[in-house]
Amino acid sequence: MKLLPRLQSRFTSPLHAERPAALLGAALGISFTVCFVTGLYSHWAQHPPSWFTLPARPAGLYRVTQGLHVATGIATIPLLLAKLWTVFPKLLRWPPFDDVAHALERVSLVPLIGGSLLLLFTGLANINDWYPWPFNFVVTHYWTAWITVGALIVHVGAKWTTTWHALTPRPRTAAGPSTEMSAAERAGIVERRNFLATVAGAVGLLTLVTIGETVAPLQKLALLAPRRPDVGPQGFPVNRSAVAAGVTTTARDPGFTLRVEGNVRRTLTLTLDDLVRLPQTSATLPIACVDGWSTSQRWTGIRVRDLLDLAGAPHGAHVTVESLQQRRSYRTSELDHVQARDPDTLLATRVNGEVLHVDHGYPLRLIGPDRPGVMQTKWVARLVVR
Amino acid sequence: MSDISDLESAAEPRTRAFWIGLVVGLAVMTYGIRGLLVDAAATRPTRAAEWLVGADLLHDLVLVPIVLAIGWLTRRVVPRTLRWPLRGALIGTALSVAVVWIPLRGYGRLADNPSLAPLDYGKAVVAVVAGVWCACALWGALAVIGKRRAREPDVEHS
Repeated sequence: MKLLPRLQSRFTSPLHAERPAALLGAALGISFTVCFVTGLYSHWAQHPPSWFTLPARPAGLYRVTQGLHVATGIATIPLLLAKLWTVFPKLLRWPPFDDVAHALERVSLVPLIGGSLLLLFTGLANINDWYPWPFNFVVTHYWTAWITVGALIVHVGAKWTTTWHALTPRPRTAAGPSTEMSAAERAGIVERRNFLATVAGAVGLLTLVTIGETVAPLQKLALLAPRRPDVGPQGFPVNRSAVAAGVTTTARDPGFTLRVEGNVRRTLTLTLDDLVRLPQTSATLPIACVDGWSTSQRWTGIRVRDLLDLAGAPHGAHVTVESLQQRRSYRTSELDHVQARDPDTLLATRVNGEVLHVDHGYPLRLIGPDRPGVMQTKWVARLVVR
Repeated sequence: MSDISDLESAAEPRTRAFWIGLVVGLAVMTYGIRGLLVDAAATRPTRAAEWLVGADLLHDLVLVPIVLAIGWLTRRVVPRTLRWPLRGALIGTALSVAVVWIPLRGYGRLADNPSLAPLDYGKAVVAVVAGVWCACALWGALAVIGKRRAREPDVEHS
């Protein structure tokens, strides 16, 4: 096994030194934390644990957190590859570990590296609606994130002292550092600076050509993003079309009615004409997709709380919003008492003054503040009050 | 100054941070593995593990050798001043193509939803890559000019 140390000794580039590894590690620590926290928020928003209430304000909070989640994930790609490059010679270390604790730390690198690569690949494929793997994306992405973050914590603990040492400025001698540096040392510093500048440039490049899918002023630069917030029916994107949902006929049925039932004093059955005669409210709210794109539009419709009051629902009621679509996930979504009572939570019939396009949920769609796009249920036909 | 010899050092020092990281990290990993197993019908843990280890192997056995070969080639063929501008252009090109690969190949595209992957991604990636090469050419030109100036002796003008 002398081959591995011999191979390791061939990596003489200053790019494999501790300082660039520490700098990239610190940047990755930040990016992974941002991705994990924003990912947890998105997961809890869609699958709330008993102790979690999705806040209705600020209205654009989910837009920011999920935009950040996807943008940070994309920016992490060059950071991760660069970090793996700097530490690659450590893979060839022999013996691979010194004792049991060191072995555990080394073994945790498999889920750390494999998990990181898997999270970035599946995340990138997901925002493009491409699922070439044999497992459920949402559930596997979520649990892999926990495994990867656990491995990251092990790694951070193990590298804390080394990283701190590498990032702490060295005391200068009276003569100054430049006079004592050899030409090789100066060349090493220039090499590392060029390397880190290239990584920073790559992060900036990927961010610049994708972030416009959620930051409207940069949308013209979103050349490599899978969405443009200004492209789609009525000028903004669609996640699931009426054809895909199988509602092209039922959504256009002239006999369409909305039912409000469950824990109410009187069940309501309202036609589209009835709904139009109710007080109409307008609100500018974002559609913020879990895929990272978002766009603000002016919605007009009936306040959910007005319908609940009309039906005599209790004040703290929760509501299940049901779509006309008969199958697939996200056929229903939940409104807790805060969301249901928010003055901007609407069943919209119009957007920007026009009747909703069927792909945007005609005849009725839910739109509320700070909700993931998949929970802005389209083709709403029933509110079940609990 | 740290150098490559750092990498040959023994195991990390056993500080308090090491043990806290090990205990907390293993607990969080266990929680994640438990979740993956409890939701086995959705996660298909064996297949997920294959993909995870496969990602590791793909990186170490395919991507790294390719990068090593390109790094070696640029070191042998390209003058030092232009080495990083060229590497920057190659890295920018590779990352741009990687990020746009899925819509470029039309994977995930749906006939009923033209708002998904709505651009001509072939043209788009050519435009981005052209921008990258222009920026790196400018970087290279500035590096060459800077190097020439550094060689010129200081001249006092009266």
